[in-house]
Amino acid sequence: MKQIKHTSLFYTIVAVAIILFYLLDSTEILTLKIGTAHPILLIPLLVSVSMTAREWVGLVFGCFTGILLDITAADTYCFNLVAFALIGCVCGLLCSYFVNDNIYSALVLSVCSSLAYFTVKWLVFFVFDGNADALQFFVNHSLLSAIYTSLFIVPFYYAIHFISKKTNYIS
Amino acid sequence: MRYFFRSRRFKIAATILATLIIISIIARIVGGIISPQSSILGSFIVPFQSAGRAVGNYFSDLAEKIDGNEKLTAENKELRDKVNELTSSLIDYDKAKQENEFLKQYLEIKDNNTDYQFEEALLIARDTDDPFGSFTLNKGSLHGVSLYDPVIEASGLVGYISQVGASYSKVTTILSPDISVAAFDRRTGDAGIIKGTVKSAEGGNTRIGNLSRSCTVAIGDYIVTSGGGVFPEGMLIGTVTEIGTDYNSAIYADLTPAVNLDELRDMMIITYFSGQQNLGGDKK
Repeated sequence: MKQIKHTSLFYTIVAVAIILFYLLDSTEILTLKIGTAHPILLIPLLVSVSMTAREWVGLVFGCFTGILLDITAADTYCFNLVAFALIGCVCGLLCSYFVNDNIYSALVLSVCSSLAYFTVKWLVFFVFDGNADALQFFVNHSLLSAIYTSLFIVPFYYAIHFISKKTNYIS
Repeated sequence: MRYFFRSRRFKIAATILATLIIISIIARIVGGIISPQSSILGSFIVPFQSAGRAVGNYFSDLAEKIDGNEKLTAENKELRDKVNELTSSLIDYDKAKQENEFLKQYLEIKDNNTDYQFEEALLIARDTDDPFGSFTLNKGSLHGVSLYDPVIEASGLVGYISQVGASYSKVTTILSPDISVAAFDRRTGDAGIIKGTVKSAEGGNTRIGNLSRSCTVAIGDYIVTSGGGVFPEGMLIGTVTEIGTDYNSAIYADLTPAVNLDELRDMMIITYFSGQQNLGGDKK
């Protein structure tokens, strides 16, 4: 019996999930901050989506996520737009051509994406801006936040795969 | 993979992305305007943020009521200890009287500034990754808000409008290194510049630097705005909690802001005051 693909449903669910987690974080309804470490849940969520849906969908949802974050971001110009577009596209490409789609790859991609995001953000907006105590900020905030963020890949990876199976989404 | 980068779709996507980036940067540099794509998406998202914020505030208030009894008991004990400290230490009556007179004058400043035009605003979202506590308000250019308009709360200066959209705007707080406020010690008259640092922001404080070597700033002193520019005169910024010298041997003082930046909700944007200038030095 031919299975019906619910591609639009999958995309809708992902879009709603991105908006939901963005709202929960920006309105501080969901506060996961531990000390100075604050996770950005949208990074592991985007990595999971990109691994499932590959590069094009990753690029589109990356742009969407980046624009959302730019709404409330401080003076970061369109940094989030560029960063998340790259994360979505690169993770999708790596999963298409180089790595297998499993939890271990997801962990590696999540850690690398988080570290890259926080490090580049730190470099551009703290180091190049001439802030004193930039190194202290990197160790106390950026590095801890990157590690904390990447831990959330586990639930997101399985959740996205569950949704893709239920909607018969095939990339 | 080569095919991906050579494909027409990728070239179109890259072109669109590059265009958005260029427009965003130009909009930001030229007029502090929020990027078009964020502005458009923000118009749809902001009402949800307002609703989400209201929900969050409701549960926050509920939690506070439940904790209220325990907190009251702890607060009572703390206050009793404080009273004991005060009665056993030497209290300078003249100094206390001077502070009282300053507070009265401050209230008079607020009452007497009939030229101030206010726009009430509500905090709807925060940049939770920003160590300097920037946030978003639910008022924008459609409500008369302009770039660099001061943002205040009942107890003091909060920051200034750093980006303006049609229906919302972003605020840079006094903790940020991007802010540069001329200020002075209300007691001694020593002048300096308020400019936050990463280190002071981690403790929820801001910093006044460029103090003269002969300054007599002391812990507990009130620091207020000097006026004559973006900010009106006499706005309370904070109280001195620490005095030190930086790596350039310049004297600075860390301030605890008068406003509790973690619990902001309702604020006022000063959309106009007599003598207000934009960054170009032109009067509004």
